[in-house]
Amino acid sequence: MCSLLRKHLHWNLPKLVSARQTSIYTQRLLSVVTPDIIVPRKMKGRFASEEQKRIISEFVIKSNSSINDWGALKSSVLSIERGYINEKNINGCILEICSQQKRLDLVKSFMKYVKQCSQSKPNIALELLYIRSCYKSRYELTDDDQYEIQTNCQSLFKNNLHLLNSVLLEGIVMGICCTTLWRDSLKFIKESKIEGDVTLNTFVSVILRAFEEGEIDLGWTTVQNMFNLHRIIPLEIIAAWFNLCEKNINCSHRRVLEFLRDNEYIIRDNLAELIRSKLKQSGIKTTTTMIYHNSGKCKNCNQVLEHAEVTNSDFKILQERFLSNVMIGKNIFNNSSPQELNDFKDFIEITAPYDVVVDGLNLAYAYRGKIGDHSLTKIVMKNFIEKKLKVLLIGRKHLVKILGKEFDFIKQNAHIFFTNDLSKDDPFVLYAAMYSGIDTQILTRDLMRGHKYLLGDAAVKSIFQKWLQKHRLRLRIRAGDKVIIKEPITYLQATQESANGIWHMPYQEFKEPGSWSKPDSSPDKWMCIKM
Amino acid sequence: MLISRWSLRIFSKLAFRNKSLVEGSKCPYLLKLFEPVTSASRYYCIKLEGPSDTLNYQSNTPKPFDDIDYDSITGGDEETLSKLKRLILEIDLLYESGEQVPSHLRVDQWQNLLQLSSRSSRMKHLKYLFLIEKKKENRIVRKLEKRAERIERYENEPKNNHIEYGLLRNSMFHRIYEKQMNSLYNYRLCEAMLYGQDILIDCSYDGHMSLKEQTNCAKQLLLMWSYNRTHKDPFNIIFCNVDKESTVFKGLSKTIPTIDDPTFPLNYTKKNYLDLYPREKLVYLTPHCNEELKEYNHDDVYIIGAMVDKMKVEPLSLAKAKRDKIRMAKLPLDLYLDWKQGTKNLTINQMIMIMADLKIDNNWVSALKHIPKRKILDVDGYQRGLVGSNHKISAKRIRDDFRRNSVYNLLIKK
Repeated sequence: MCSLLRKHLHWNLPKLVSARQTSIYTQRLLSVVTPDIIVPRKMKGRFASEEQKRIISEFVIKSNSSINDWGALKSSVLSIERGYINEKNINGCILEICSQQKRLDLVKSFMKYVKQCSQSKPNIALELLYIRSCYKSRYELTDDDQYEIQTNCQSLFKNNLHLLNSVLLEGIVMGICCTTLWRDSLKFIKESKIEGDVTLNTFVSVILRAFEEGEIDLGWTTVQNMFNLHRIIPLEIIAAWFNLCEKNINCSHRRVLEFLRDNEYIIRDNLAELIRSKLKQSGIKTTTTMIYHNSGKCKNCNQVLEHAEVTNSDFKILQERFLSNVMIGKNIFNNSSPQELNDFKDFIEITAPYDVVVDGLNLAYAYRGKIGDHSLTKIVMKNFIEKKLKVLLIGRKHLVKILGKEFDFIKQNAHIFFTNDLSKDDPFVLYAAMYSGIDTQILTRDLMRGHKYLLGDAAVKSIFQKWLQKHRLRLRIRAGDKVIIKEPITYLQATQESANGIWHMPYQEFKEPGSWSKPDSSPDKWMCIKM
Repeated sequence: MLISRWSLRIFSKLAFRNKSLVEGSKCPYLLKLFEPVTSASRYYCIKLEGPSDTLNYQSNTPKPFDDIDYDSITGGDEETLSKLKRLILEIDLLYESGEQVPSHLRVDQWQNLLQLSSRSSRMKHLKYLFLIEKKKENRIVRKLEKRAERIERYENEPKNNHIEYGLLRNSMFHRIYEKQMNSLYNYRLCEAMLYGQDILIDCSYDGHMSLKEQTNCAKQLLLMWSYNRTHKDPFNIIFCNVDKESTVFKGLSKTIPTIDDPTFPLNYTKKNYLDLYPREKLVYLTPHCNEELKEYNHDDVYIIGAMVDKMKVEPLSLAKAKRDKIRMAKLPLDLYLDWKQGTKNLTINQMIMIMADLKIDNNWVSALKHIPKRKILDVDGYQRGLVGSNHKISAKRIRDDFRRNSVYNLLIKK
């Protein structure tokens, strides 16, 4: 049967299909088949919900009068079936878009419509959204509106005191800040018992209102509270303060700089520009400048900046925190082992204090390829030893292999501690430097940011940063294998006032994600302000 | 005339569906098959008329969550109850402002949400749940569409009075059911339990993982187990340090409900690995150590840590092995592969795949093919082959080119 079939085909094929026809046939096979009808995109998911939002925002932008057919809008939005907006959350979405466009009249008319429909009070979430949208256009509110919001906020706070969360509190405070009773907001924050969890916007709305009313002390204490919690200064606050300065003679621009000085906070690019333009308006001269690293002198005014100080008590706190948080951490086996740590402690007790602690592996790897052979470690060590400094070299056991012949020289002239191959060596370097005293210096290119993070507290972190900046030696390799050891930065990298009333303020530039930062963690730019 | 069992099932279901269409006008939210053959509309799933009327009068303002089982979520605890109420208020607010929040949450999902501490993490989790919900909805719709299509096709097919052959029709082969395959695989596993090689899974890292990582880990364990049973020479996998209350094990036993059956071929024990085997025999496989595994040693018992570290990488398994003073080893990835991107930690199921293949012929080149291709530099990166050959130089060049190109890309972007 099978053979018969094949025969049959074999005989018939040439007859049936002529040469021309076969060529056409293959062409058709190879060509890409385009569909005759383009299928419209399915209305679902994100696409559908964007369409829904578009309908609402078009409606909001177009409408002029306060009488609107909200019902028609709702049904037209809900006719798109598979979007994210449904009957349950459509009210909130419409309110949100109205407030985005700052249409207070529409917000009010929509709330009236909702009340009409439901014949009862709208739920908490909707009310909060209403208050928020009122806050956005708070300068247009009439007295009646203010009264309504005020009673609303007070009843909301009273009814939900037992289950206040930060978002609800934010809404209530925003509402009360629109009214004349705005001072109650501080009482609300205090009574809510979630002081550790208050959001940034809550503080901002209180501060803005305080500055508008000219309540200077209240405003600045709130700014301090906010900064302690969130470590950030929003742009609006500073702008509001400068606005107040223009009206009130008692307030001065110095207050901002003093705040930055006291908190040692390094601001961003956009805030610095704002300060610059505002200072220019009031006739204060500002110039962008840079600071010479080795002397700490300003290029513009030749003033020497303040020294960074680490007091003994601070240093003690840092030592304790470092041992518990970084060296041991959650599990000593992650970094090292108890046996090794004890050996190291004994070793330091016998041989301390040192003048310089050298991070051997960092030295060997970070400058790899800059100098012909592996003699960098030897050159550096020789440099130290000639100055009659007491040096400790820390590395892992496999460093011996890298050093090779030079190891004998180092062994004779310096103290050496090698950790296990599976341990981390950076904590050992820092530990040795810290425990041999406040004057010991470190030679490493590492900025130790990971270890800084583990310290936890912001205050301790800033102590660590200052200590490291004051004690970290760096290398510079010139052509011809010339090695220069650069002295550490000693001046204070924060906003400060010199004796003759000249301010220096550092700020960070805006950076594209993924771009390089400076290799010594110093601020990008400085501003020299002549008061 | 013979009709196969499958088509019978479809027709019986269809009949049921049609019946429910008549009855179902009482229950408004039911998804329905809406006259699949004749209707020309795109979607076969519609909601019955009824809720659309509520738009205009809205007797009470709708709340997103009205069916919350407070008692089973909190377990009668006052403090969690107030916490839950706060959470509900927060989610209500998010829902009202049009954020992506699921419309229904199960009891265990509520409990998981209660455990999250920060608001942003809760929001992320809610979005994740939302996407899952939407996925499920879409799956149902697609299923109904497909079914309708299939039925249409069957109806339009030309009928003959003879026996029908083909897929889902008559066939000359005996159908192999899943049960038969299962029994074969389980037989292999049982054989491995008697005579095969042992491998240990250390399930003691539950506290170090976040919720997402824990569920991920449970899934990886399941994949590992199922791959192992299909392998031609499976391991005898022993889960040790198992805590039955932990999320990982709960997740695993949720997908394998018969895990506690005496006949089910899965071993787990509360005991530590040191109680099971002598210390000299154990080797912990961890990516953080320096020793490389040269070849598979049949005398050794290898341990794999059941841990997923997506968020922060800590050398936990290294610390554990160091404390217990057992030998450690890592896979010789650098020796055989040119790594492109991603961490050098592998998933648990990949580890089992590699070890199982390695056990057969000690051939690293073929065993390491289970590492995903995206992590490897070259398309033929698997074939770097023998150590010390000239390939090594070219591999270096490839890596340099890759780096240079990525720098150029960065510059071009700027």
